[in-house]
Amino acid sequence: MSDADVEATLQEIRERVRAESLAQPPHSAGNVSASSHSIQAAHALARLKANLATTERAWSKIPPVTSFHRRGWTARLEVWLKRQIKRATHWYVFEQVNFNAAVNSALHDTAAILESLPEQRVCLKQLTIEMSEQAILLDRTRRALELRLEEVASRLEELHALRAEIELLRHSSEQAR
Amino acid sequence: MSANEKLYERAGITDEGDFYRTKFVSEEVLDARYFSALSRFDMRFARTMWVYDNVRARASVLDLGCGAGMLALLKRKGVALTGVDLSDECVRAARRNGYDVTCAARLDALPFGDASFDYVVSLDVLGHVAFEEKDGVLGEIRRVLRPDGVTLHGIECTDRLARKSYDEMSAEELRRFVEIDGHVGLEEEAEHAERFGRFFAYTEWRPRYALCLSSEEFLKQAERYGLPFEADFLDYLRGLSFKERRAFDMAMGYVFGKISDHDIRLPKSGLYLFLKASNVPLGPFYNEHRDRNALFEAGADAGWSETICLDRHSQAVFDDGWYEANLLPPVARWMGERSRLRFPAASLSKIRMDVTTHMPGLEERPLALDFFLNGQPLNSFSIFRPEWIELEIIIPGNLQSAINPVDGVYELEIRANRTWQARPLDAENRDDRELSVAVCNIEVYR
Repeated sequence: MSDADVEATLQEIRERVRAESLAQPPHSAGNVSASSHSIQAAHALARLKANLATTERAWSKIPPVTSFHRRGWTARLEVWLKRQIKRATHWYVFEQVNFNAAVNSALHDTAAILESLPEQRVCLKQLTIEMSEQAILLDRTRRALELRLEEVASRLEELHALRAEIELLRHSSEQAR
Repeated sequence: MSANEKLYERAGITDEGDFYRTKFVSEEVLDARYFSALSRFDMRFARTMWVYDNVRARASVLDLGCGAGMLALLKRKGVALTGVDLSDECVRAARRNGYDVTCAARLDALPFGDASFDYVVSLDVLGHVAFEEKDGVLGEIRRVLRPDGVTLHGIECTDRLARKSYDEMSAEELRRFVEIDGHVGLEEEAEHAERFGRFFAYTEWRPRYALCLSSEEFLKQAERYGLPFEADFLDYLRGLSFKERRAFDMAMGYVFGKISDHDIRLPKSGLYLFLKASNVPLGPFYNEHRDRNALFEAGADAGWSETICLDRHSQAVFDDGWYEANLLPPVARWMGERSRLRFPAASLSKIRMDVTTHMPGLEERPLALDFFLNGQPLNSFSIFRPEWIELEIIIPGNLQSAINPVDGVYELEIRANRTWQARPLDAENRDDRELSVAVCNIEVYR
């Protein structure tokens, strides 16, 4: 294994340990709690990211033959052999490599989408609150308008009554004349 | 090709809309519901307050070149607020900040019927309109204004004795000058007044900003426009922290407001003027319709039901531990090490909120938050991921009696174990605020 491979593997282990530690319940006391759904989603996302470190490294690689003495002529020979094997078996494995690359890329996209979900949830929550506030205000305006309408209707009725009275008075004054 | 475009092109600006988007669209929350009454003294809102005090409640107002919505505060007066701007993104930002109607259009071809508005207002716009186009814009203002309407403008000016004219500038000088703010139509104060005089029967104007500028504007005028302020004073301004700059701007804004209140005539500033014009006799230049009561209320509330959101509630008081709301998104308030929120409630069973932080290094050292209600420790928890977390705090029955709200007022206090500075080295923003968490959607349950 080359130094870079060792470093990559260590990084994977680190990510896994971190993901597992994140999967532990958060430090909380008494009755303060984050929503359990969001905690589970966050843990799933942490595990997904840890696994992405593996797919990122291994989607097109042939595993090492040995895990020691990966220097000098033996290592060069191994690399040369693997290169020949890679060329020779390309016709057979290229679809698998394509598939691996696609899965790796899709998982990256999925992780990005999942990461934006908490922010979208909060934005939606804010929108929901604003809409319910607006709904209450609209309802209040509607009720005020209904009251105003009732007032106008009763005023109209009064005006009709007054008009009828005036008509009556005019009629009686004409008769008296 | 218009003259305006020619001058922009000479300055190397090919897309005006994009230029204004990058210059004038910010994540600043100008929504009137988040406005703190104390900010009426802030120099940043000096022009807005001049308009606010001159506009009749419940009138219809057109904001020309609305940008991100600097006049959103007028919604507190129940005004029907329309915004028009060259940039689509500015239009969207203004809408987000509470404008009733917004649209993208050229100012010399307004998409409104004749006599549609009681007021047509612009702030920092006419200095961006080329000389050859100004008459077209003024003609449009006169067309869409009602016969008894008033037009109000805050206009950037120049002083030809102190500054070169556009014709005298070399291509490089012009590029540098226009690139700062996009000023392609600066005129002398009297020239603006004379131009308006050709369209309106009554015109009044006052030079402003001769004395009072915000700390940021002092530095900008000195560093970018070359105005001669004292070097040690500028050094002092550069060294101010976020809170000190705010204090400076509040003091400047306070003096600015008093100059208006006493109608003190200032000498020519060569920087800016306020102008009022109409085809009917004008009222007082300042405070014609002054009524600031609405500034102390966040507007119509949804009232108190089973659940109430405190973010924009008129009776919720956010103390100085909270910074002004920011659009992250969503719209949230950052707090420092310690913040308090007071609100009245008949009873309280649960508090919920969304919390996040952008603090680095949380995995190694989580950020601890302690919650207190009326001085009583309520709970604590730690954040170890930089993402939004939904928190629900149930108020235990045994704490209810210990809380003992005075006059039914509760005080929620949040303490963070540390803060960090998001952009201390960003020379453009000079943002050295000490931040801990951003909080929004604070809901209390009966």
